[in-house]
Amino acid sequence: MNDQDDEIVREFLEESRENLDQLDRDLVALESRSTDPELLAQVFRTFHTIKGTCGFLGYRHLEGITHAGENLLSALRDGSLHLDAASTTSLLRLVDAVRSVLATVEATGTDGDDDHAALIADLERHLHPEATVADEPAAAPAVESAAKVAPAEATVRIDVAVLDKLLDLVGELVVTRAQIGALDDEEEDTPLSAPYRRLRLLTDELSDGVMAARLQPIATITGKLGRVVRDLAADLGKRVRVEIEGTDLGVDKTVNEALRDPLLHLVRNAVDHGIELPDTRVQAGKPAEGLVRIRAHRAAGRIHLELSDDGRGIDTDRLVARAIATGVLSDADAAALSPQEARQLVFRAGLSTKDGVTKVSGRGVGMDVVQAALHQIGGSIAIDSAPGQGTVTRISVPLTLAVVPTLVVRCAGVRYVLPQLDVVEILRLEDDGSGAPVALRDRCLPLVHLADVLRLPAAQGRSGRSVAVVRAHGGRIGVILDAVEDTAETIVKPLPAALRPIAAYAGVTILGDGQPALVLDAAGVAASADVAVDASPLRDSDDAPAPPALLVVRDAAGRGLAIPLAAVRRIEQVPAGVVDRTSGVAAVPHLGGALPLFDLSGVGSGEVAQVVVCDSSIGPVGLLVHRVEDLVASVGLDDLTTRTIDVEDLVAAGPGVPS
Amino acid sequence: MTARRICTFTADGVRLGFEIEHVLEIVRADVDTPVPLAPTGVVGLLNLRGRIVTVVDARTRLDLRPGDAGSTHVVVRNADEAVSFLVDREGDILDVDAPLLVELPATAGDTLRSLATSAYLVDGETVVVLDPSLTLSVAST
Repeated sequence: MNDQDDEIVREFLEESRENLDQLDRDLVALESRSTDPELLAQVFRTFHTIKGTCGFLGYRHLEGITHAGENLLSALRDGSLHLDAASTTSLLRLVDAVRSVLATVEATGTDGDDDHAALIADLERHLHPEATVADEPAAAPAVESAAKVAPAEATVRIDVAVLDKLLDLVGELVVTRAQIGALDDEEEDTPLSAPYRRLRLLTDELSDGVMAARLQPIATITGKLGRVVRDLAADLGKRVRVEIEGTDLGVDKTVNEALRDPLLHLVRNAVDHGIELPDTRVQAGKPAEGLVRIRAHRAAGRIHLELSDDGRGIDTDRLVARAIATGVLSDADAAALSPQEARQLVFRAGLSTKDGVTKVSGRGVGMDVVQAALHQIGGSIAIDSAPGQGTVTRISVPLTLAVVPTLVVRCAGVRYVLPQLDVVEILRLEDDGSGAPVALRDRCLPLVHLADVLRLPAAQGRSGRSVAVVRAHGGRIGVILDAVEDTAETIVKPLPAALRPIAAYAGVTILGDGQPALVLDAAGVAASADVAVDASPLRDSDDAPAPPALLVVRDAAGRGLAIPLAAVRRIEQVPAGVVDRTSGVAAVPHLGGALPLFDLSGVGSGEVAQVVVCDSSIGPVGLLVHRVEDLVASVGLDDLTTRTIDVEDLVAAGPGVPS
Repeated sequence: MTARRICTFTADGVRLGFEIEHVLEIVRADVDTPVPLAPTGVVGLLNLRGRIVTVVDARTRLDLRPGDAGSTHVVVRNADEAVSFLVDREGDILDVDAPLLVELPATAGDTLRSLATSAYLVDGETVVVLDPSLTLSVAST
């Protein structure tokens, strides 16, 4: 077989696998919408495509079974036969058979010796009652399907490596753009200005386009779940209907892959532990058929998945009893738990409410593993349940793992990148870091200097004043740095082979100015540091409410101040000379009156400043600042070198606030 | 033995080379980023049009005398990734043939010996051809 044939076969295998996944989804959907002509036609077309290619490539056995399937489908499509559970099962068995033959083709280059006579007989059995429709209709649909398949040509298969390469190049383009931008005079138009503005727009669009091309419909994962539920329910003697919404949502391939196992686990749990046997359901006044619903939507740059069932819910009493029995909880602690807290016990290792171990969901490896897997990709999971009515599990994950929010830090003159996911908070040291542990909110925080971890020569100085408190090994440790310079959205790339054994690094990246930088691995840094981490449990888990978003502003001396965003109403530009400082009170004209002002800017009265208008107990007040810099929403930046301002404190202390 | 094309360069006065099919390109650039904890020989990272490559210093790797850091990167493909070999100066591309084969000079050190595949006498000078994967697979310390 020559290269070209190889290529054709490989494409056939890949395309067929996708088609089979689609068939899994469609057949399960078809069971509940068996008369939907569109769906039936689609299933028929998919089979027909596979069959056609098999014939072309000379895979006779494969052609034989797909042909039998096509006959059955054509009878279903023209209405002479009605799809029921038995024929769906036969068709799903066919899908499995085709899948296994494809594996044989991939391994051996032939479609094997098995002629699948039993399966073909099984498929034909459904046709026998109406023996007249056996072969005839196959010809006519062929023409129609050929016409309908045509639009599929609009898609092209692309190797992910090609997309990654494009992403690299876009990153370089952004850097080059910034370099050109530095040449462009902001104040007045030069011949460069117009093309530069255009370049800016084009690079942004190109960058968005390449990112979008990396997305994959979430259906590649959720679609498989329908089949899982169906097979599992059949095994357990349960009746379960699946509803899947939001299947065309685009998700980064890496996120999609990271979601596969957790979702599979949750779905199995729902069918195995959640949905009751039909009799039990009827006794409880519920329909005999249970419902598992998977909904996906996108909001605020994240994917939100909701998996709900109308089963028996989580038995919190049993969970608590189990927790006491295994020593996880004391009786007193258990009594003090709220129902919500009790439900959170499912995330503790080794606690399972199911007394008998089933082959389906297995033993104790459970929700704690799911939670850990999701945390690893920056996701979160929350569970809600009403006894007897069902369970709702909500998952939220980032759209992409390719872009990670990070802090750019400096150590001995070199910049490193620290993923924000690992950072709990940033502290400022009052004296030089001697390496001695410091007390942080009544707890002892072990400290280590990054320069020591990286074994940098002592001559390069230990000027560290900033401490990044990072999560590591179930506890936390403070890493002393020279400075935290910036936050950045970073594309993390794998380490080059020579650096892979170094535990302190997680990857490499390219900074905004084109310089490569090493991405630090918090756990690896802590491990190389050889100090005990503070292992007391973190109170600020992902399930805690997010810290309030802050508006970061600077005064003329460059000092940072953070204003809680909740209090901020709007930001105004104040032209020079408008600030009225008469009678010792700074004020700007505001809705016909004067806005009380608190001057935090440190600028002279002749300079331009910005006013952040905030709500307070005495009505709107203005905070005069030198410039508004950034919005920070994420972990721990509230403790930064930046001072957080309480508007009420200002109002209470502020001199001469006009009534 | 058939003719081979060798991409040559020098480090510490020694003429060296890789077979040309292993060489991706030659660029001049300063090393961008140092890498603490890296294995001996790795002097940093270089941004090569959006691709981050490890830079291996030829003098250190071959146990030659240390000198001023060069800025000529011979970028070589090694096991699916690009690695830069930092040398003093790039040389010509030479066509060599079996009759030119010679023994490695007696002055060559053990490290150089262990990484060389062959040596050719060209215009009165010995060119030592290095095995790219041995030379650029630096073990972690």
